[in-house]
Amino acid sequence: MSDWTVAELAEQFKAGRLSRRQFIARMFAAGLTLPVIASVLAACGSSNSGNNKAKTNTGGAATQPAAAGSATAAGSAAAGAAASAFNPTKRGGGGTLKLLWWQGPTLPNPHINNGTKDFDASRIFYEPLAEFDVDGNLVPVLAAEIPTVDNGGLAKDGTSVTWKLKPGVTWHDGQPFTADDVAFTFQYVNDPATAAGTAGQYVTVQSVDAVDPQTVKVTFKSPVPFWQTAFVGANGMIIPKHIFGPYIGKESRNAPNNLKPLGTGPYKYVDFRPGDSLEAEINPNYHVANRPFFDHVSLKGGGDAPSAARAVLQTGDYDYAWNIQVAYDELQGYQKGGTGAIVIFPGSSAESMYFNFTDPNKEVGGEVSSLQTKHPFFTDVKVRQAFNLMFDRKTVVDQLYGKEGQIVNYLVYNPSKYLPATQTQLAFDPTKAGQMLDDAGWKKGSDGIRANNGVKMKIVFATSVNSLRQNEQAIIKKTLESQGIQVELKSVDANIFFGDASNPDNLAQMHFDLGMWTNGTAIDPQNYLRAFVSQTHGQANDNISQKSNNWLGTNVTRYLNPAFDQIWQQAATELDPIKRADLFKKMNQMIADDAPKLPLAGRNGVSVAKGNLQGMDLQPWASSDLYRLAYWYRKS
Amino acid sequence: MTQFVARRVLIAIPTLIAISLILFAILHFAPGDPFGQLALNPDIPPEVRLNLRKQLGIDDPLPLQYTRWVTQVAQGNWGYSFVSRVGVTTLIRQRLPTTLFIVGMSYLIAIPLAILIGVISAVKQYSWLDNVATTFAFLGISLPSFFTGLVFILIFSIWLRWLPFIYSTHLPGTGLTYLWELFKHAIMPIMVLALLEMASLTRFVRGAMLDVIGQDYVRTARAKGLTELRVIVKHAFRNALIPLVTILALDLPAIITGALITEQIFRVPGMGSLLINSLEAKDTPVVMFIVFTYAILVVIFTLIADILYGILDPRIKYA
Repeated sequence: MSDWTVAELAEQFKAGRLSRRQFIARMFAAGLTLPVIASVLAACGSSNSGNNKAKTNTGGAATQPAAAGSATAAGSAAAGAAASAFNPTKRGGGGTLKLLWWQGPTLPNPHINNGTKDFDASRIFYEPLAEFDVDGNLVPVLAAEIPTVDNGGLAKDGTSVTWKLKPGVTWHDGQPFTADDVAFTFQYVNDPATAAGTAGQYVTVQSVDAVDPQTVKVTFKSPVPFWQTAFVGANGMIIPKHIFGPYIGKESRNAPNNLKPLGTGPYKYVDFRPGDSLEAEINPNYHVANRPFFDHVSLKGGGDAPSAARAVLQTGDYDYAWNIQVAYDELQGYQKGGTGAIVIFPGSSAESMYFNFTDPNKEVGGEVSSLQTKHPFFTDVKVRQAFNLMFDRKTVVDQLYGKEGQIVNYLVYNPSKYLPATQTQLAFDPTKAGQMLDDAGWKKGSDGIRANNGVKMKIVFATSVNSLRQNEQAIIKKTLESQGIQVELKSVDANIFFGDASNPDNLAQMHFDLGMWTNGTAIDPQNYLRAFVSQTHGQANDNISQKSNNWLGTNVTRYLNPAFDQIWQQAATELDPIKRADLFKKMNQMIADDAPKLPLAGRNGVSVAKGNLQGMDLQPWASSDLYRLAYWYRKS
Repeated sequence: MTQFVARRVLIAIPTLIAISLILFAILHFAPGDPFGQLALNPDIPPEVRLNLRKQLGIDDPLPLQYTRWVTQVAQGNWGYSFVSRVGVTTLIRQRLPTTLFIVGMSYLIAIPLAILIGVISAVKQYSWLDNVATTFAFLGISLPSFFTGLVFILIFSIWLRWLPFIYSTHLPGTGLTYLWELFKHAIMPIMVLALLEMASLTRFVRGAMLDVIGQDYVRTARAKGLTELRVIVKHAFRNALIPLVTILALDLPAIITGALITEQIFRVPGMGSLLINSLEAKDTPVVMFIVFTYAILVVIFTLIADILYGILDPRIKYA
């Protein structure tokens, strides 16, 4: 249980809406020990120091990796602590909150949208049943409590989960929020004609039934180990049946409320202009007492990240700007003399190096990097490990990312519970790498380039156009060339590199030997680790990105390892969380040893905010930067 | 005259069809993906992405997509944005007023000033005023709008802190407060565009005036004893207007289609920024609407220019 639910309960208790007995019972149910509860109770009676104690006891941002913790003088750790220090006695009164998103939201419908910016816009108005906190625990939002085996919510055999809904919640138009709305949301998402981007999180669900107006039962097709996908977080926002009912399937795009969001959230729709701006006003009937603090929320979209950072840090025209991918020293420059804060919080993604296991220089049946071919040297694990020793991670992090990055040894480094007990440290040792290549048969020729059996060791090293990435390329190229490897750099426009997979320059087609880009895991690494699996749908190699599946397979390195496949399949059905965590640790270590893909730098989340803006509690498992919008406040 | 207009309109129809076909084909073969953002998310399985593309008909063959588009447009339906999943016309209705205001205002400032300065520069050739105007005109032509825009932001927003550099369509207050806020938000983009337009236009007016000012009929007008003002305005300037009309006819459609770069710098939610964002996202229906509208406007304005030639110059007759 995170500190913010403690704070919430404490507030209700203080306001007299919970009796002392109810309060203790809830805290106990949430897994808090008696001494902690006592300290919270004491705090409710006197000052708020006890709340802070509750925070230390329950963990929080402060327990995250040191690189993130140290940068948060005014950042997430401080904000996290302050969340419990602010206990308003009335709703509103905070004026206008001005948000700046350098990509403007285009569609604030939580299920048929186009990515982060739209999830963020949706989250202002809509809410899921529950959200993850920084430690990966579920925290109820529209649910009354989190289903567990003990409270009867979670079926022991993993085939169903029953949610109790929070009573007294209404939609913005005054209609009651009921189990029918939850069941309808599933219908809506599950209809292929709706073309919902969130559908992937519901593929395991067989049916969703309203047991009674306050209870909803989710039945799965087969036992699922990770059931916290449906109705949780970004993919789980509930939409009202009485509004979207007629607009399901093909009709979904005709719904007037696609652009006029109507949910249960802390703010109500005022105006929306796709790609430009969004205006919202306080929901006077919000289901959390005395929240939110701000009376209006105004979100402006468009432009670029550096100028967004300036508008917050330098001119102070805006209160908060998101996803600021700007070099750290540049940000510090903007910050000088201003009142803004750079907010850094731990992430789960890593800038990574991808080895191509097939030959990008051969064409088979009109397909480059075809599975029929073998890469002349990257199929040899000794060569991959030698390359691993030539990636200067320390220079990349120190000089390019600053506090926005950290050195990580594993691809799945957060949640840290999936890190193996004894961890391999990644080293930088070009001389040793040279020896390893010599031993593997790749000796330097008269031209200084390594070769073996007449094949020269030359590679094409590709990434997207991005000044930071081109600097990374330069650092890596220098080391590789010092060891007799010929490197040709390639940079592709981001829209093409990451966009439509049928474009030859798309990353999925791997028209290069070595690739570099960022991705990261969600709280459950199952889907992320799919990228190393060859077969997921019953046909041999169907998950390998190739022509026959329009390069939509998620295994882009063309890595084939039956042992890995087997463990991954096992994890997909293992119901015991401890055994399953062991499987993830095993896979994490297998990737580190076999090195089909390696982390270059772990990437933290970066936002900028006015110094007095508090309560954001930013963390990687949240549905959005705005998941705690109801609890944001301005320190006077 | 009527016959002339009718003939021109008839010629325009195949031209527009050809333009639409070429545009559609270019867009089809251009790289990009409306759902690119979803590609890197490991929680979105390929089936979901494939289904999205299927539902919106993105992967259909080019002839099929084009026929569908033409049939829709013939019925007055411009289709749905892939990205916002609302009607294209709804999107346009939100964007058009802002562009009309910003680009329109910049033209209202630029055109009269450019004519005034251009005429004076020509009449008083090589005077200090002409030299100053020439210097500024060359500066204005050679500095791209993204540069002047950034310089303005640096001076007025970052150093002086006078003006906000992020344009907002939701301004506080009513009456005079509102107007003052609007002025503060709009003045920088308007001035960047006005300077750019003024610079080239001044040079055109000056050049056109210099061409006619030495003509015999101007000397005749002076010889008749007309006042200098009358000579310049009625005799010289009227004839200098003809090349000016051509230039303006090609420039004016931008009032509708927006200023691509300037809108992007100041985050002005106009047609230009919509076009850029739609191009990046390969949002074909929206791009087609804007670019095709531009084509229609160019055709219409060239026609208007042709008609104006006839009015300005009695020697030109249409039959």
